Order: sequence, then structure tokens, then C-alpha cells
Amino acid sequence: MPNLKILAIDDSPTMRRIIVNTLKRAGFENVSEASDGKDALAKLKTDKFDFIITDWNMPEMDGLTFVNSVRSDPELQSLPILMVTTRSVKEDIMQAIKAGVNNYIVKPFTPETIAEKINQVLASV
Amino acid sequence: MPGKNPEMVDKIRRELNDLTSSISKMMELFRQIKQPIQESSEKVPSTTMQLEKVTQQTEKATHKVLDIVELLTNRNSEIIEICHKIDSVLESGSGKAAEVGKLLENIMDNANANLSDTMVIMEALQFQDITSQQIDHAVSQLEDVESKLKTLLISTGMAKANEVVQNDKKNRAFDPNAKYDADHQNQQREVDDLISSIVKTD
Repeated sequence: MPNLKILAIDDSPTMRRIIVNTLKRAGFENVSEASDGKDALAKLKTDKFDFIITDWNMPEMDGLTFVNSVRSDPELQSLPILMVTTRSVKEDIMQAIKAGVNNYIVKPFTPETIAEKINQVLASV
Repeated sequence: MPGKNPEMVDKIRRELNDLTSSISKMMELFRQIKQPIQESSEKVPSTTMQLEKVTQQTEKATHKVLDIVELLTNRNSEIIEICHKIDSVLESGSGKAAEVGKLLENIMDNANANLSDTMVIMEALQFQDITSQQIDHAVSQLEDVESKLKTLLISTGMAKANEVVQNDKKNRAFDPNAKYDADHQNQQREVDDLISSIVKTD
């Protein structure tokens, strides 16, 4: 899916850069960035995206609140969301799935994992 | 004190003397601990700043490495592209085509291996996000200690509220359990298994 328009949300500029580079290597060239949930919601209002990759711990608006906002918005609710976070506690993962994320990656991740999860999510929606 | 029990009066006097002496000792103790508490609370902001510097400098260094990794990635992609072009020229006919073709294949294999290695470097650089969250956690705990020490100084009367400097706190978002797991592929497998079990239950 080389034309897939992806929005990568992370407060760490390092992580955004790593995610963008990893996605490019996997053939996903069309990637935009947002620094937290609030910034992402503003970008989703003005631009159309096919896929979202979001971190959990972010200032202003965290990833979970962002997922809840997207899932409660009739225009955005069907957007596939992949959460990429350091949070590996079972309860957190269950909470994220309950909130509506389509899949979950724990940092640090391998380039293969992120490409594999995107394809898995796309095949399931 | 006419009509009062002299023994009782004497006892009360002794108790009052003891109490005064205890209060004096306590005041002395407060005076003694005031300085260490004040010094400790003043040290926290500089430690916090120092830790923040660690995050900033590691981030800067990580971005420098990323700059080079990006350059290497682009150069390798170009090398592979050039090899493909030469290969297609050779296919159109040349005397030593097979020999040159083999050399080209070798160059391409190496370039592809370099590209894979740059991705491994990229993967390892995720440590910077994780260590910065760990530092943020430590800083937030230090800020908590600072705030408690300042409250203690004010509530015990060792310092006046306007004498205690309140520093602006940064809005920090971090995972207190963030860790760089060397065996992260195994960790991801556990997450995948958990998600599968949740999906199956639903």
C-alpha cells in the first residue's frame, strides 16, 4: 500500500523520525507527523488520513484520550489505529484495546514488526 | 499560693520547666534542621536541570546519528538503483556481461546488507525515547520531594511562604515503567498473545 496516508503521533522527535524512516523503508512514503493527540486532532480536521500510529504518553492530550476522541467522532471512528508505546503492562494493553485501537506495539520495536502490524490491521478492517 | 497543695504546685512547676526545656530543645532542633532542609530543597532544581541536560544532549546526539543513518540509507538506495541500471545495460549485450553482472550482484548484496544494518541502528536509537521517559520519571519524583520539603519549611514556621521560591514545573508525560528490553521481540510476542486472547474472548 504505497499510497497509504499515515499520521504518526509521538511527542518524541526522535521516535517520530525513527517511525517515518522505518515506514519509508517498508514502502510507506506518505507519512505526516503530530506531536500529541491535540495536534493530531487538529491535523485530522484539515487533512484526510488512511491510518494512524499513536504513542500513549504525551503532554496536552495522551494517546488513549485521542483514541477515545477519534472513536466517538462519526467522521473519524472507522480510522485504523495502531498504538506504539513503552507501556507493556497487561491492564494497559487491555485498556487500549477496549478504547478501540486495532493493534498494539511495545517499544522498542523492529522495522519488521511495524510493517507487519500495519498490514495485519489493513487486512482486518 | 495560699490554700493550695505545695506538693502539687511544685509538681506543676517542674512539669512546666520540663515543657519549656523540651520546647527549647525542639526549637534548637528546628534551627538545626532548617538549613539542611532548605539546602536540600534548593539542590533539587539544579539536579532536575542537570537531568534535563542529559535528555537534551542524548537527544541531540541521537539526531546526529540519525542524520548519518539517513545519509547512509539514501546513498545505499542510490547505489542499488545504479546497479540495477548497469545490470539492464549489460543485459542488452556486452562481451564480459556475465563477469560484470556477478560483480554487480555482489555490490547490490552489500548495499542491501548496509541498508538492513542502518535499520538495526534506527531500531537501537529508540533507547533515547525510553531513557528520556525514565529521566522524566526521576525528575518528577525529585520535584515531588522538593515540593514536600518546601511545604515542611513553611508549615513548621522555619520559612515564610514568600521566602520559598516556587519553580515552574514542566508538563511531563512519561511511562513510569518504561524500559529498554533487549529481548523486545519476545515481549512483543507476549503482547500479541494477550491481544489474541482478548479478541477471542470478545
